[in-house]
Amino acid sequence: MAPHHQKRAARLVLTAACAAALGILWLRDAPRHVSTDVMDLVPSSESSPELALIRSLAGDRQSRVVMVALYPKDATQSKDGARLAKARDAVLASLRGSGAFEDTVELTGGSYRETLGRLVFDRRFDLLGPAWLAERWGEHEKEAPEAPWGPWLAERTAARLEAFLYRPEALGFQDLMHADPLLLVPGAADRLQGFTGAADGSSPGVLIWALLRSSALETDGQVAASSALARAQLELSAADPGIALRWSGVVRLAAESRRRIEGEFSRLNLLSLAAVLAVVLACVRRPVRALLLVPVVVFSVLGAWTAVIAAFDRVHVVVFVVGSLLCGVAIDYGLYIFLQAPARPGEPYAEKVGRLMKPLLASSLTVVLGFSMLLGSDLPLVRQVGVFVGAGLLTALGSAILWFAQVDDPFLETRRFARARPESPAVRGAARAVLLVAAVVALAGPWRLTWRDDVRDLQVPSPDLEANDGDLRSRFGDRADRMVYLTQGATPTEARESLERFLAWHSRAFPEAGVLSFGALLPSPAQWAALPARLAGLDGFGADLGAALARHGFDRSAFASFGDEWERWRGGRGNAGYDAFVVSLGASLKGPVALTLASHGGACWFVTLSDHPAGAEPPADTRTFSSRELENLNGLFGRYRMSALRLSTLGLGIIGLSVFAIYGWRRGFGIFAVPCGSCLFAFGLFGLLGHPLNLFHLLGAFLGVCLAHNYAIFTWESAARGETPPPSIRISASCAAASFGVLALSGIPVVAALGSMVAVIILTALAAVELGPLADRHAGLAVRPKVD
Amino acid sequence: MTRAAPRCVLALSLGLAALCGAPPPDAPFPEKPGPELPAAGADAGFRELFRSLASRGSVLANFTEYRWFPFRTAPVVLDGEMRFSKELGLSLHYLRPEERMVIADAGGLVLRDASGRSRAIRPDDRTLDIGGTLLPILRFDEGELFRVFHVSGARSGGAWRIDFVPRSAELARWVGTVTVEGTGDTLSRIEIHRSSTQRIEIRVGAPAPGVTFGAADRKRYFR
Repeated sequence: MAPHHQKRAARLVLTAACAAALGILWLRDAPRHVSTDVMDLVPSSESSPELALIRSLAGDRQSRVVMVALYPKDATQSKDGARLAKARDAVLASLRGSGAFEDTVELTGGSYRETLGRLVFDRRFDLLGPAWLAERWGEHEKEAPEAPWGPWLAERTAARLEAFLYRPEALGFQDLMHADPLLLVPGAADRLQGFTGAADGSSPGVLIWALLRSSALETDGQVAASSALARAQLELSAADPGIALRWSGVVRLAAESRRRIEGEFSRLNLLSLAAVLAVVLACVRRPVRALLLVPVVVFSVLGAWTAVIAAFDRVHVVVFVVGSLLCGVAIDYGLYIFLQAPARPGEPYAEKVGRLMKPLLASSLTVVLGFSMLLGSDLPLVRQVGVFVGAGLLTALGSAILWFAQVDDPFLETRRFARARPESPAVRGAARAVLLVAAVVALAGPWRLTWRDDVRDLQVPSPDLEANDGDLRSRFGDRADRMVYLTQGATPTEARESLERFLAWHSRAFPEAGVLSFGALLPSPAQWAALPARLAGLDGFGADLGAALARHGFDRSAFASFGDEWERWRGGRGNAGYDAFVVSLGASLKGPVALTLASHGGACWFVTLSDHPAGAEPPADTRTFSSRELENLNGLFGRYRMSALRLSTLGLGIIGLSVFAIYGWRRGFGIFAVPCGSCLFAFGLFGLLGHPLNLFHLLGAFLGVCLAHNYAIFTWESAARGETPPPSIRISASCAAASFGVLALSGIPVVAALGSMVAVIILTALAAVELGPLADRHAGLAVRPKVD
Repeated sequence: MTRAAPRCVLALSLGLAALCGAPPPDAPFPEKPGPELPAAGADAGFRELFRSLASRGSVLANFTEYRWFPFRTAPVVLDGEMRFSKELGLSLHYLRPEERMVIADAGGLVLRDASGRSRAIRPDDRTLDIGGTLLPILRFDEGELFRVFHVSGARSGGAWRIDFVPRSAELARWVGTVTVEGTGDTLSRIEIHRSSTQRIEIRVGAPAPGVTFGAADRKRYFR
């Protein structure tokens, strides 16, 4: 093809590709697909119960709770109830008028306690009756099975009621007893107290619990919450500037996390590009011409974005932050082409590319093949990174070839120091020493590795907001020494049965610790199922009970209303299903207690609180997880890590086989030893430093191995032609190391993990390809083959 | 639904009985409340009475408690012994019809059953602090009493009667009127009166003289 035709064709293809990519991004409305929701990093079809639970929690009311505390700025005025009441009224009116919340409850007054008590009282027969009847039935069968069930139960009820009058609690329930001679509510009151009790008394002020209408993880909900609280703050200041307002909730932390991640995204991409350009500009003779490399990076990032947006419905922003590494990687191919001197004066571009095509394709396609293995991961994040990097590298290769096809004189000479290769016995000795130390680290260090994954590492820490959140939670009664368990099931029946098993296990594992569980108040499915049979023999119970009460010194006429209610319940309950009962009960709950029970979307779970430090984890058959496990998901991410390890190993195996197939066993071994050795060194280094690794270190290691493999291939290709390795390898590796070094500075722990791991591997690989020939100059190079 | 409140009422009402001397069964106590005392120290006679009652030491005495409920035809009767110390608080040891202990002190309430198993109820800022509110009656802390209650006093010879009506409407709803009666510096009877069908009356036996609580007593009968 004539040069001018070649240029025109290259420009045409590049322009068309860019237009297509931009069109796809526009049609797909790219910003809509970018998410900051941590749950988008894990599969929606995840079968592990703890993740299903987390997903449910994140999508449920728990994530929409906002805690507000009002207190005097001057602590000496903490007992000024009138001021606080005025402030409370102003804030409540503001929050309710904002329309952002579907429920606002003041916890510090008695109103919430009374609301909860009224709910339990109103639904006492359904809620507490089945267990009460089951217990009495058990006593009847044990003590007097021959006695008629109805009269026996009436006599037992009256006797229990009389005995109860001698207890201190009787005085508090005397207004209820005429309507509740079965003592259903007093029996439940103890177990309910923890839901209405609060922090210790050292937190004077007003506590308001509010529930957002919109998701706390979406921008709309975050804006609505912050606007409503800002307005409430203003109105409070106007009403009484001496009262302070503090608030917290998932919505605030999520909004801050989104803000910080977006900041990281911009900062890291700019820094990465700047670092790469700085390296290149420092190493070439005509720095201005180095800017010709920028379009290759831009095309690569555009290709990666387009591919990942087209392939996935929701892409977490962390993928784009990680994607900033492409600045360092995508420039590889451009550098290799641009810095390669013509084989002869006037060598046509097509001929130059033709002789470089084998290493370019070998390095690119094997890396893409390796990354395509990540598409088999269960974790969307891993799949997205695989597509992002794979597509980005392919685009980088294609665009580099096309871009330089339409550039006049596609050669950029490097500075002398970039090509310098010192040779002396001292250098050789030093190189050998360094390689020996590296080998020791690579062999000894990995045995000391520890692994720890924490889903919270995906967020940018916000120490101030987290401290504020901790303070608010403590005011609301949350304590660090309190264990929180979540028990789940596909249906309320299944969840309640699991809860029964969990409570039995808990009483054995922590016999001294009490539990607080609204779910435990619910009848068991077995008790519910047995209810019709228990009630069948109680036709004359009302009259029997009246007579028994009279015998025990009660005024039977005072209990007339109970008899009516009892008969209405007994006759009207029909054959109500257990699941429907729990769903309807859950829907009627308000305030904090509503967070302890959820049933929707094919899943149900109960929350149980217990005052004891962390200890044994519940067995699998309880389908219960402690909040400790749910907070970090270490177990689950450990499984994903193993899955990623298997896929990475498979990908590495494919890369190795490709290298062996292309270069033969001897050369293939030499090439393959560089990335593998570098990876082992990096693991060894982290092991010796005692730094725990996570899933992202593993992904970084895989990426690092792929890049290191590029440098090995380019080095061996040059050696095969009897040439010294081109400076592009050195510059390219330095660019990648700078790019990943920038990532290592990220405030997002997992991004920093990935960046540091890749940077270490790249620098090690660069050292290997540089020092290997120096160390073995006379005896046949360790990484340098004999020239054919 | 608040259970701490009635427990405090019970505990502290019985605590007042701890300050009683031997109750003369037919003492001529005033039948009706006297006029409201305007302020602490306003009435020299009652100021002396408060000072005398407040300076009493530890107490150990038997008591009988009568509880009237609106749905019972007769009161429920409980017997026991009670201990009071300004430092340790009040301990009510019910012996009949079943053994049980209620301890009220600065930390809240402790309910202890016959097997020795205890359950603490700590007052917090979400529940009505009835214990903290009624404690001044137990201690006869005159300044605090007048801050929390409307106080009325009546005398009939050496016998006297003081009625306390909480200034807080919510506290008044739970407690009603607290009436204490006595002769000289001995308190003989206490009644917590919510209505004619809802009230508690406590009659206290003769206090043991010169009582001190040793380590074993402290461990068994107090927190």
